[in-house]
Amino acid sequence: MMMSAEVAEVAAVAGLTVHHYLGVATILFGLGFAGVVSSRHLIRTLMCVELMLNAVNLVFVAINNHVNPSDLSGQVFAIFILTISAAEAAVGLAIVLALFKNTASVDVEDFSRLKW
Amino acid sequence: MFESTLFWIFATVAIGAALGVVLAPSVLYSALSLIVVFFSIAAFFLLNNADFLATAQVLVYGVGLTIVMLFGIMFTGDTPLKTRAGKLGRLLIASISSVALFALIFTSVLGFNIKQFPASAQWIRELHEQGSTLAIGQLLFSKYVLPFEVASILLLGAMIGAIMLSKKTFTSQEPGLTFSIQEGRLKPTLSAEWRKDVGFVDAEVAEEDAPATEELKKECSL
Repeated sequence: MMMSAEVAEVAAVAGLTVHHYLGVATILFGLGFAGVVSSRHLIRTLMCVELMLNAVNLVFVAINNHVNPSDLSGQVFAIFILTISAAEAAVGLAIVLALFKNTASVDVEDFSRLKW
Repeated sequence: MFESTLFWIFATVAIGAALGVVLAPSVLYSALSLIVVFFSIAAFFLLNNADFLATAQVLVYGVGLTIVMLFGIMFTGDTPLKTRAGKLGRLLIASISSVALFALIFTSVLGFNIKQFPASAQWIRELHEQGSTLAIGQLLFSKYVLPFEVASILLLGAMIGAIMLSKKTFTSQEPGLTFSIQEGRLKPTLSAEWRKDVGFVDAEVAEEDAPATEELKKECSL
């Protein structure tokens, strides 16, 4: 699990490697996941999903810039993720509002109607 | 080095604010710290020569999405949730599973040793002169034109779905809007229930009020 000599060499030259960004993105993704699992408030859950999507975006852009900078495909992928997360947030919030209209609650534990 | 100093500053800010998103006592505070996370990720994009994406990040996430989230919080009311039994168990499961996921991804990140090609000085100069917008646009409309069109259909579907989910529901069974041909002209008629539902002002009522409006006009002209 050690960084290879090659990577370490690049790190020594550039100061910042792709691994720095990947590490930050991993921490953000883990925090987002912890929020999704632990939060009981529906809107906070949605926000943590956005956090995870952003961490993935960061990975795409960092790898694009450090591995193949002359082809911006990674950034195009990040744009698609951005689009899809905007759609997800709109539909998610509409569902939250519809649920709130019916049950007057945003607590995930209140939505157990399909449970038997 | 300047870049790595900036990186560490923004990494600290991003991780601190992400902790705020997960742990803040009020949802409003976590929405506000989400804005900070989005802006520091935009800064990471700038450090990675992605200026267009940094702008899009600030516009779509930092402003648009958080405002939608804040509207959601305002519509549902920022009331604290009822305390329930089993909070400790939930926190335990969440922390164990997220730490396990983090360890899994982190070890694979450390083992990730693909050959890195730092951007050439000339390419960076080109990017800094004309920005990445041109290159992204060319890719988007040549190589990725099919995903682009699919994304537009997806956005349309999501928009229609969101409107359908949050629109007012009508309980009436009879058709609300009917058309009839009178004197060679198409005349739309709203049913009585629909008029009540949408707060439609009746033409007859408006005519009954006609004398009153005449008086009002006279008073105003005096």
